[in-house]
Amino acid sequence: MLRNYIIIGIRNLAKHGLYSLVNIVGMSMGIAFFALLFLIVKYELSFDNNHVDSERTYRIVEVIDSQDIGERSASVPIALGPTINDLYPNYVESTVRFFNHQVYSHMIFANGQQYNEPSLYFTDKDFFKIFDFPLVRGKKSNALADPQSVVITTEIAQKYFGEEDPLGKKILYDNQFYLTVTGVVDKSKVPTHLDFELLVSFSTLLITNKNIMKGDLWQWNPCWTYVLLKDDVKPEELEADFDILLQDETKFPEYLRDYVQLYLQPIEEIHLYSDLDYEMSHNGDYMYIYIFSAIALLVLIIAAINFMNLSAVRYSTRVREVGIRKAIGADQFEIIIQFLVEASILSVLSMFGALVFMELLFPYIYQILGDNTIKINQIDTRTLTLLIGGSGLFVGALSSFYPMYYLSGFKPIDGLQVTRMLGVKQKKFRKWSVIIQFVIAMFLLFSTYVARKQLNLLKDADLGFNIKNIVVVPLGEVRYSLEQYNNIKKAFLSVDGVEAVSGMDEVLGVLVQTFPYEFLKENITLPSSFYSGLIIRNDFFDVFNFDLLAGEYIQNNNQCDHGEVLINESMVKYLGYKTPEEVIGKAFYNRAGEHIVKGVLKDFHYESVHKEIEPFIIVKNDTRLWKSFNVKYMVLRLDNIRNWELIEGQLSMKWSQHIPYTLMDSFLLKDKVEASYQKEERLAKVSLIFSIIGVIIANLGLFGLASFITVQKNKEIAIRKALGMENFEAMLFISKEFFFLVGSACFIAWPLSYLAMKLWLENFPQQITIDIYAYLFSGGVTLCLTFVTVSYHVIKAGIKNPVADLKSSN
Amino acid sequence: MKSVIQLKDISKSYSTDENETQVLSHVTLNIHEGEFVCIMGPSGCGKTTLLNIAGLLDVPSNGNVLFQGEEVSKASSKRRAELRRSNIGFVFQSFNLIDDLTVFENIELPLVYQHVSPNERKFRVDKIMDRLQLSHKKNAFPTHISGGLQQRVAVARAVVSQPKLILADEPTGNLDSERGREVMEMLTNLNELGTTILMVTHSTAASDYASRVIHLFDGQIVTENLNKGK
Repeated sequence: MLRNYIIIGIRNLAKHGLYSLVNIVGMSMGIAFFALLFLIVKYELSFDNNHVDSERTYRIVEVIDSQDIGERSASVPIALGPTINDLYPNYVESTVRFFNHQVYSHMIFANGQQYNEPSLYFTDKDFFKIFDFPLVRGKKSNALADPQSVVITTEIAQKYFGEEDPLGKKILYDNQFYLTVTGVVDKSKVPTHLDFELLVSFSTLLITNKNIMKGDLWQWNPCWTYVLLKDDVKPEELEADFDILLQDETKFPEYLRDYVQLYLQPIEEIHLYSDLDYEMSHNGDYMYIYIFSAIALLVLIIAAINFMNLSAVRYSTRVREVGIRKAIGADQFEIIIQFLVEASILSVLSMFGALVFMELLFPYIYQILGDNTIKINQIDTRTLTLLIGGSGLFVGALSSFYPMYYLSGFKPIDGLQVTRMLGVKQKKFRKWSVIIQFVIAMFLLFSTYVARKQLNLLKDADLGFNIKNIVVVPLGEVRYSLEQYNNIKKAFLSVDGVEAVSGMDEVLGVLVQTFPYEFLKENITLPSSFYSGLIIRNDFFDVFNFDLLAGEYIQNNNQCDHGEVLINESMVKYLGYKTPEEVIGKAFYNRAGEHIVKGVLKDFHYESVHKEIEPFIIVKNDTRLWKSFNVKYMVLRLDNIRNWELIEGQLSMKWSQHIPYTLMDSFLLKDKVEASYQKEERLAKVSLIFSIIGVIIANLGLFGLASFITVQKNKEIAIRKALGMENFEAMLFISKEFFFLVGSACFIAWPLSYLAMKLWLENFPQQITIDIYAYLFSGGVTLCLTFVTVSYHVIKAGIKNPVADLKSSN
Repeated sequence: MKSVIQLKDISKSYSTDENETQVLSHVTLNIHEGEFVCIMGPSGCGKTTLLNIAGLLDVPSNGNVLFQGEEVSKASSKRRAELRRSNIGFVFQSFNLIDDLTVFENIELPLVYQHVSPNERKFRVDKIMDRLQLSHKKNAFPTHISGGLQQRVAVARAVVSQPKLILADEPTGNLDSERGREVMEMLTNLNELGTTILMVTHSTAASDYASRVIHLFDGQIVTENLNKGK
């Protein structure tokens, strides 16, 4: 019997070639693109949950909150890890720190080549005890045990040594000391927020930089620190006991003690739920997991509806066949099995089609999404089979259910009287399903428009200072003296196209630090607060333009015995002043002494525009007063960024003249600022791709339906024509049903889309207003495509000679 | 003689929102084993409805239907399907062949639903095709053969499972007189071999082959004649 079902199924597919093709292509696209988003979501959800003890692993985070401002830091003081190990042996099995001197990159000399490596970290010997990255060379037990050991990733091994065995090879760190490769780790299949490429044993620091464990061990918080709790220890238990440490006078300094809290953050939640200051890498966002899952589901629903409608259309031409089968003796179950077999054939073909789509299109789509983390050939067969097979069969069976139930349920006599083809109920069902399809397609178009516009707002947002033509050259912490800095600056200024050069301690617009200051107001010292701030060289305002509301910029070569700062408007409000002018001349205090407010700047986005603007302080790096040179980045303003490649070459030449055996790093500030909109960029791209796919699938279905409906209406049109209807009127008559359906979809899709996008926009401090073009775009594109899709059948039916249809019996 | 099918006081009506149409009214009919019964009457008198009820394709609004003594008017669709597949063969005016199956596969279909083994099916279908001279069109599709051949295929499909009862609805309606005669001779041969036949027709030529002729008018049996020559 199965053979009979398969034969008739295949013959039916071949007989209705167009329907079958449209059905298979639509379904294949639906499954393929569902799979694409599913894989992205699965990948995002798998971050850091592959380690054996990931459920017991936490990151320690430090929250400094004084007077409602401060920092929520992903990194903690360097001494915290070992201290926790010693203080809480009943709770803690092990701790591991990651430390990178808080510099942009590290200089490595390997195999005769110079490299600047941004992802190098010093880490504790227990790294492999907590994190299960597969070590392809070396031994986990001792890879990071000895000083001057380094574990590298397979990518770095390939880059430095090609096919040679890297184990035992030596590389030179920062022209200071050699590191021996003791292990090669393959992290390509372990999604993680840990951004390392090279791991140097922490003990290296202790012998190469003897001052590292001296000085401000509890104020500076440069170490990402992870703790492995013992079995059955709850994180709350350790958190509750942190009070002992926080109140210990030998640990956190007095001015910090009352404001610091330590928390444990589950490692599995970091990638999707963490948005702290100083994150190790750009994290994902759980909200986008929901959005992507919803989009994936919506596309699959469109495909399922498509499949169902086209199947219903095909089945409805087979009412007579079902009647005959029933008359001969088939029961309802056998008819259901027959149609299930046929739906399965279509589903299986669609699954193969989906694989073809995945193989052909995905490399391009991943390229568009800027995501090279998921490769089709890397997905394990089980996942792929479950994903494609599961979604294909599920949708196939589900979408065949209604027509199967409808066809198998009627009395055989109804089937034999072929004039009773489609019931009113089925027509209504078909209409609603088309409306739902177009509601989803329009929703995707609407959200594409809004997401793109919001992204443009973010990208074009006035940050409050100029980022165009600005280039940043990382210097590395305390690597160079002020004298070297001044020499390089002079050399850079001699390059044609460089208009101004200055320095700063972090990258303005991307990341800033916090600094504790007290403020003297009307002879009363306000409690110390931890303000976000930036340390700058005195010529900083030659590079950047801000809106100065009161006072003046910090002057070049201004010799004075006190420090100078600028503040923003929010600081004025925070300090309780009504006008900016009132603050000028007032003083902040810290351990370096008095800092006079020279000017007030209009609020500007010192970090990503996602973040609310808080009180901010710009501090002049006065080496005469500070006895230290805190500038980690040089910042250059060019006359025109178009000449960048040429200028970069000349700057590199100047750099190597002054600092031989090193490579100059550089980046455009605009690129770094835009990198913080990665998530929105990705959403805009995903919704664009998926709205196109959704619209294509929906229109494929409409094309099939149009063909069916026009055939059904042939006789009616023939009669109307016989009574005097003209060809053009006939076309209008046929097409009005389709436009009615799409028009109805508009009125459902628009309010739903508006509400959903309004909700999404609430995540941004700066929001676009949803304008009329969002409605026009989603409705217009859908209506135009509907017109193009149905016009072929409409015109064909409109100009058809009615004679043949008048003769036909049904 | 044993009854194959008994219709006891059956009525059938169709309702719409506006009115109710009475198609059959208090019809009682007993078909015995080996009979060749013909039902005649004008269009719309309820002939086909009566045939459909007798063939368990439809159920009456009132009254009882007994198939080989079993009350089936309230039986489940599954039970009625079982009875049809093992006891009844159908021949329709419009042939009702499945266009996507070949001649062989169409004839084979009732045996498929009876779960007959493939070898047995092949043997029985080949045998009936030989008998009805259809072997040369074995792999043709219904749309590629003449109306006469299509009806022959329909008869072959009706008899391949050796049913006790064959129901024929205007079997010659779409055929010329020569092809019509051929079909009626086939049915007569089957009847002579013991198969009970209940036929609906307009054609007096076709009714001459029956042993009993029943006239229906406005949903009621008005006359019932034995064909003495048979």
